[in-house]
Amino acid sequence: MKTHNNRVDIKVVIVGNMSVGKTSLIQRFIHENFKENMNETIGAAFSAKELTSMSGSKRIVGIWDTAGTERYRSMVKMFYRDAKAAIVCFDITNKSSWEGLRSWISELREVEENCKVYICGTKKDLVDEGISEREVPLEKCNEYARGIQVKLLETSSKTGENVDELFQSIVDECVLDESIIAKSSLQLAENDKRRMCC
Amino acid sequence: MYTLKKASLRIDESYLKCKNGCDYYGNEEWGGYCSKCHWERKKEARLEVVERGALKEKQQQSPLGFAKFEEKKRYQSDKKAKLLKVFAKSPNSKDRGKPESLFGPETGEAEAVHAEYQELFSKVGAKVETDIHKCIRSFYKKLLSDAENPLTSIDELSERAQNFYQILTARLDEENCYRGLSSEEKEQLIDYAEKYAMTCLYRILFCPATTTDEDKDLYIQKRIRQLNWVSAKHLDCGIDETSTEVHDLVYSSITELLGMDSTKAPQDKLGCVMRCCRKILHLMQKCVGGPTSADDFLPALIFVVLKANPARLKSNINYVTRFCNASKLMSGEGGYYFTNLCCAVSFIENLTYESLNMPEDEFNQYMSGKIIPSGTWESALIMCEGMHLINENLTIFGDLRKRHAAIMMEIEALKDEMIKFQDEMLERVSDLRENVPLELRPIREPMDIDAEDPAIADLPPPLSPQIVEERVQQPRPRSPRQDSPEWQIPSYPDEALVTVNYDIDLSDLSGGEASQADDQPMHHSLDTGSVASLDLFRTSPPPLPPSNLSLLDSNQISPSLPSPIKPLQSSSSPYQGFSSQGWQIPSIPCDTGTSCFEERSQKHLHEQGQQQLQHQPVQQNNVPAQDQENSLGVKILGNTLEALDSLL
Ligand SMILES: Nc1nc2c(ncn2[C@@H]2O[C@H](COP(=O)(O)OP(=O)(O)OP(=O)(O)O)[C@@H](O)[C@H]2O)c(=O)[nH]1
Ligand SMILES: [Mg+2]
Repeated sequence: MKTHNNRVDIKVVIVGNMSVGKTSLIQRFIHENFKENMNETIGAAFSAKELTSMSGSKRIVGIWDTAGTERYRSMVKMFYRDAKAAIVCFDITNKSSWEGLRSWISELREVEENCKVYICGTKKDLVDEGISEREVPLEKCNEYARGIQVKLLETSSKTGENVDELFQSIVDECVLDESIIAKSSLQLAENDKRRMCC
Repeated sequence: MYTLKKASLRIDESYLKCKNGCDYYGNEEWGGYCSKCHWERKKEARLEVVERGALKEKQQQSPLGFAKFEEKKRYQSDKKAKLLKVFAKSPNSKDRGKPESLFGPETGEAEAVHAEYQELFSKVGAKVETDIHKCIRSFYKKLLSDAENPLTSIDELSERAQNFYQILTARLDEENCYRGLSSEEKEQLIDYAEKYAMTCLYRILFCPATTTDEDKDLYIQKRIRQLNWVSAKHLDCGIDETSTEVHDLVYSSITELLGMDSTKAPQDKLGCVMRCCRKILHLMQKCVGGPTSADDFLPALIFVVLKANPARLKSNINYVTRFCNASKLMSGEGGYYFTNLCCAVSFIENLTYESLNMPEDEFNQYMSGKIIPSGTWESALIMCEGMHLINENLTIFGDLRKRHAAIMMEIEALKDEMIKFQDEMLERVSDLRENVPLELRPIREPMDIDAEDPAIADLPPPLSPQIVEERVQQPRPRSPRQDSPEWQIPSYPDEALVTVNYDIDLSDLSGGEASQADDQPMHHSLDTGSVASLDLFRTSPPPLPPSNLSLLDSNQISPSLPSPIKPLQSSSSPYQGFSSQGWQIPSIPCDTGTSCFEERSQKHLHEQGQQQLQHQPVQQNNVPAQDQENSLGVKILGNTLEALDSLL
């Protein structure tokens, strides 16, 4: 096994209650397709894709699917380690999934402080097309997201709406962060040097 | 420990978990934090120290344990600075390109790693190779000396290794000699460094005595053994039990997982996990009929781990966690699978009746072995572990058998060699014995014979300077008459002549000795037979001219022809005359068929006895002589030679 074949620059972990559409989201993003009739289990567990950030630098995004099933709920924490970003999903047509959101976010914050959190309301198409009733009002979502300073996007894995945008914004912000970290570490190194000289 | 855990698992769990509340297990060594949080705390502490710059003050303020910890920290950062310095040295220093010589017992494996990356090094050039090996070597030395200190915790070693990867990564970007390499090549170089260093350090870093890894291994192994009744259904895992293809995939993923313990480099271990997990994904795809998601994958992995019960599972996981290059691998695909494996292990450790969705009594009955699941596939998988053990042992036995056979073969070869050696030695000894007695005995025996035969040998006068002269001339006229059959007369007089023969023989030798006093004795002794015969007919020219011809033949045929001439050369001037003629002799008899015959007969005699071998030609030669004259005459000749001896 050669590592350079599966190098990953940005680790993104996807969490959320059962059947909110995590796997579908990944499937949409990676393969640009959507399989409606597939049961709750579609997509790949791990996938990677190269994206180009706004600034033009390329980054490989590794996406970690997690199991939403309750019995493995406690295990999901293990996946947070070193994650640059986490997409916390809820189903806008399912109120209980919204209620679960808080616990996911607090857990994430607790375990992986530096991990950027993105809230993703899924199954937008169902509401747009009037197939299902929206159970979580958009204003409420926005308010909450603003309150905890987290970006929110509503996506549809069926139409692909906002899916690429979601991942693109993750890459952009991560690249931005990198440059900030690089600058600060440079400063730190300089400070160190100065100290060494004395 | 186990029962306690089972009874109040939930509470215990939180108790065992990291103080920070992350899902990793805390450790008393790390102050109740998990390794990661512990690290973080350390890093923070270091930063603080750097920021304040007043280290001593802080030490006084802080509690004892923390002071100690900081001291270590400082010591460590000192070392790091040194490490950096070492790295900063110019790459032109005359270090050897390969650090093999340094790494004692692992040299072979390290070389194998090196060979694996040969292609890379042929691309990046010798300078890069030298430099990277220098880095590896300095890291190796440092870590080895650190590891020798029992106070160094495995966690510190791990941090050092991770630092090494980071520093090396930075170095690859900064150093001149790495300029122009592609990022892929750089990654491969780092990968190589990791693999090389870890292969060499495996002995020290894997399941070290300072940790409780081994206990954990035993615990999880026991636990998995107790859980061998857990089926795919219990885990809500969609493994299709009817398909043989699925069965094969389950078995092969189990095999991959078991392979983890036999590799040494962390990335190789990770590779085993990856292959195992890919097989599981493939397997789940078969069962589910679509791409596998985490929801299918994790249960299947748990199932496989339960059925595989891999050796030293915890040690392996900890080793990879500690020493695998975190920045590269832990976020990649391998990292994903590895995290899933950790999840699976954690799930197994904390498994209760609730996690299997079954009534508590049933669970307990299963755990105590009161109920055994039915179903061939399940029982087959229960057997799996045993089968693997059997297979492992079989391979060990096979290996032992091979080695045994190799040893036996070597023993046989050695035996053959020894026998050969013995034969050779015996042959040489017997060769020597053939020659030596002939050389030594003559000196003594002449006296005996003298004492025996003075009555008969009452013929002192035959001192014959003239004879000597004649001898010189004899060869010539005789050679044409080689055809004469007389020498062929069989050995019937042999017995009668035994004594006589001795006489002649001895006298000849003595004569030879006399003449060859300063010549090489060995050379002489080897050809005693021929010399003797030559001497013999030399001394008896008038009575037996034809018989001696044949004698001459034999001499000429024998490869040691020159030797008989030598004595002549050394003795006196008339001999030289002969020797000059003698050189021409060989060509003449070679054409005659008789010579061959005689040789054959000589060979025949050879077989008859070793000791007599030397005498045989003499005997034979004497036979005709004896025929015509008698033993007396020969004795006279002997005496004559003796007289010559004394004269000389
Ligand atoms: N219409 C529509 N359906 C969706 C969308 N996303 C997911 N679904 C459906 O929701 C169901 C669950 O989707 P999954 O992707 O399996 O959900 P999950 O979060 O991975 O579920 P678990 O893995 O079981 O936790 C599937 O039947 C999908 O077809 C969406 O954007 N639009
Ligand atoms: Mg899923």
